[in-house]
Amino acid sequence: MTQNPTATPTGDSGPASSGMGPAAARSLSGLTWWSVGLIALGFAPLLLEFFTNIWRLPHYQFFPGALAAAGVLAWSRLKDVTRPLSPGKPWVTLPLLLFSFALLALAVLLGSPWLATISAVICLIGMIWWSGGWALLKQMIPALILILIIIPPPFGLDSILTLFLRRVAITASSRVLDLVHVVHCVSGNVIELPEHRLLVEEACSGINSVLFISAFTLFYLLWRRRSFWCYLICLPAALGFVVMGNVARITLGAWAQFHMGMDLLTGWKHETIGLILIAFYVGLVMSLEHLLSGTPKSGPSFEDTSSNAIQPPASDPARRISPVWGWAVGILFGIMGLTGAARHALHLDSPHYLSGKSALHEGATFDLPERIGPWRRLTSGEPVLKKIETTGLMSMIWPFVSPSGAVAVIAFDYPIWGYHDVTACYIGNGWDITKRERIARDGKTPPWLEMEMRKDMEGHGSLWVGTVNERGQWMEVAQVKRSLLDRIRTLGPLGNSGETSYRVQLLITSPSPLSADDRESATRLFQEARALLVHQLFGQLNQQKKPAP
Amino acid sequence: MSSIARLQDGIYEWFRTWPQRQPWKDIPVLLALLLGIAFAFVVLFWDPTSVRARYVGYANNALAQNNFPTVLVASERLLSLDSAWRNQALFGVALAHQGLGDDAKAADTMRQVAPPNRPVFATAHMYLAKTMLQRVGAAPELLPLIKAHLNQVLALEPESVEANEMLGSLYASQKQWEFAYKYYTAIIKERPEAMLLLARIAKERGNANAAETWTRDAQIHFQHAVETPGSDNPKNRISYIESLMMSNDFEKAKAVLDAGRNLSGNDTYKTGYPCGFCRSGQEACGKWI
Repeated sequence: MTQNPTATPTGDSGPASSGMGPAAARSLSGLTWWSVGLIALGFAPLLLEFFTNIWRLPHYQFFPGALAAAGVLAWSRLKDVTRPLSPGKPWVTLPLLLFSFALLALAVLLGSPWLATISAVICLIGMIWWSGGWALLKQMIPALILILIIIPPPFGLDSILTLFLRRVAITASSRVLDLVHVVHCVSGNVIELPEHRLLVEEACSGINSVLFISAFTLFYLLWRRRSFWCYLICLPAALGFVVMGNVARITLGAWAQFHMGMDLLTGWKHETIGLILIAFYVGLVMSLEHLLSGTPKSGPSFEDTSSNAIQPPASDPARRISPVWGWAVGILFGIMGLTGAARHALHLDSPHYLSGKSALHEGATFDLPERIGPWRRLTSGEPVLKKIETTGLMSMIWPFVSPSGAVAVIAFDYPIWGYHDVTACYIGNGWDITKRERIARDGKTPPWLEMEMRKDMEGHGSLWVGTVNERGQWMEVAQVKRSLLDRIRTLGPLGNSGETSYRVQLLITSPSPLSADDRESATRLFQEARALLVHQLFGQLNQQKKPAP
Repeated sequence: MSSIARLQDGIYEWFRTWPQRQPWKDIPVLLALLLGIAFAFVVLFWDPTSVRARYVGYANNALAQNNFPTVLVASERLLSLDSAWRNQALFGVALAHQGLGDDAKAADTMRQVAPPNRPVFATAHMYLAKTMLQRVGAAPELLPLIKAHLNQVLALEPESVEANEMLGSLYASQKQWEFAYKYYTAIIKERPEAMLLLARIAKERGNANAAETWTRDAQIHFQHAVETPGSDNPKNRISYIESLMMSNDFEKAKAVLDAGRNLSGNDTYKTGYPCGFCRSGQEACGKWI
């Protein structure tokens, strides 16, 4: 098709079906490709950041496919819309676009790519409505649903789902392993076998597969134009397939390790089994859809355009909207885009803003004294240095002992991508969190996170955590002291993820809970150690910023 | 048409047209459904009681075979299965760490189940007492600790024969006759041979009457045991012989020994008799050796 440069952005003008010329179709909504381009430009900087960020999350790496699928669905549905498109009522369009613009402004102000993405979806809905009213929006709903699935939910709900799925998978696997007489023990996300420890990673928990299979199931059912109740069966069933598949994978891995000494849960074997399972899930979803294919429709479906579909009113050139409106909206969003781009450029001055890598040079050193208050270091000299290769995380460890014999382990971890809540890690290692509190005592002392935990083997655990980013902002802000803007910024999981952070942890494990005196003493040790390490950190960061003599 | 009627029609229609809709394509999901039912059955009807019993067996068998990695895993699993088994499981964990050479962890865990100042788990207290007793020759300073653990065993199980006997033996070795007497007295029902020890202790304390009484009681008890028809029990016979020797009845003692040799020829009778025990001099004993 030869694209008319003045055609509407929502598809071909369809002169055959409408009986109206392209010029008429163009002018009805007042939207042109240029104005749409300007609006898109408004979102571009933060959307770019958003997509860069979610590419880092393995369970969202299917997003290009989901976007392509959304495009395909939109394109296929577009053909069903009667032409010419009749613009939606302005009293719906205007609030949608205003709300989207306000959200985008807030996103630019707070630097929140997640908020900008939500704003983009609302804007997209507004523009669809503007172009074609309910008749067009209705046909675009499937594509919009697919787009929504790639936006991580707020409040860390995807992390909660990950933890839940991992727990379900491990618990169920443990029961199946009992059935096949494999001696094992479960500790958090680790299945311990005699002489082997199987770490059940996020990948094994099924979160990657769940999102992908959910997206695929949605796409397939939408593509096949199935009825609502088919979704009600297929989506939970797809989740069930994934849980079963992952239980099978974990069980098979543990069984093979126990009986044959074969490791199926790491490396290429793990990846291969994962791909095979994905193929199985896809096949099962298609098979289930086929099984249900002979059933009647008992409710409306997304594709239903026949009897109950709202027909667009006859096109009336008198309802034509001036292109000036399109340009005005485009320019407003475009200005916001330029602001976002400027902000982005300013942050890019910090060379590792998006990379999550530390601005520290390779050989950065940190040290703690032999004594901090009554606490004495158990080892002298260089700290124990551990590098976790998979994430590139460096961890330095200093054990201290108190006069009462309590051993406190201080760890300094860096670089961390954004704020990483250690709660999930400790839960993953089998700890039950009994108390968790963000503390900010006064304006002078930086805030910290304090947790009390229990574990069968280790007894009681007490943890102090403080995280600072390269701009010197402490990230464990006490809940009560968080501003509304701060709460909004951290709504999305990727709200502040572009910043590299550094974390100080202090962990004490003991058979019984710490006494109030020991706890206070440990708090002071944590504060002093944290102050020393952060002082060294910023000393070295500032040293690097100075030009070489 | 009502929705129920539509649903009924739909179901009827589905079954009617199913053979025409390439049913083989439904096989994967039907198999998955069966698998899901089996899987749900396994997960929902999982029985912790039988699993716990099995893990006790795994841990004990592995311990018998010195398979410490398995002991560790099985004990940790027991720990997570049932808090009632916590001490037993922790004891297994401690033994496993010790077997694996991780003494620090073993000591940490053992402290949880057998602290010297608090009764927690009798088996662990007893294990520590026995282990330390083997080293007490080289480290006599362990003696108070051993006594402390044995006392914790008695606090948990006042009738423990082993703890009473060990404490009696420890106090006897330190010539603390009063305490030794107390602990041996507590076990004469289960260990009648303790009567002989009590007779000796009474003699050491200068209580001739009590010594005579204990010797006589021992003689009566073991004579009855030896003369009861049935297979020969060398342990009872030797105890009987000892009691006879303590009352200086060497002729009868020799007769009883000879009878035992004739009856079963058990190796115990061939190895002879501890000469120093009797006071008749080498002549009488020498005949036997």
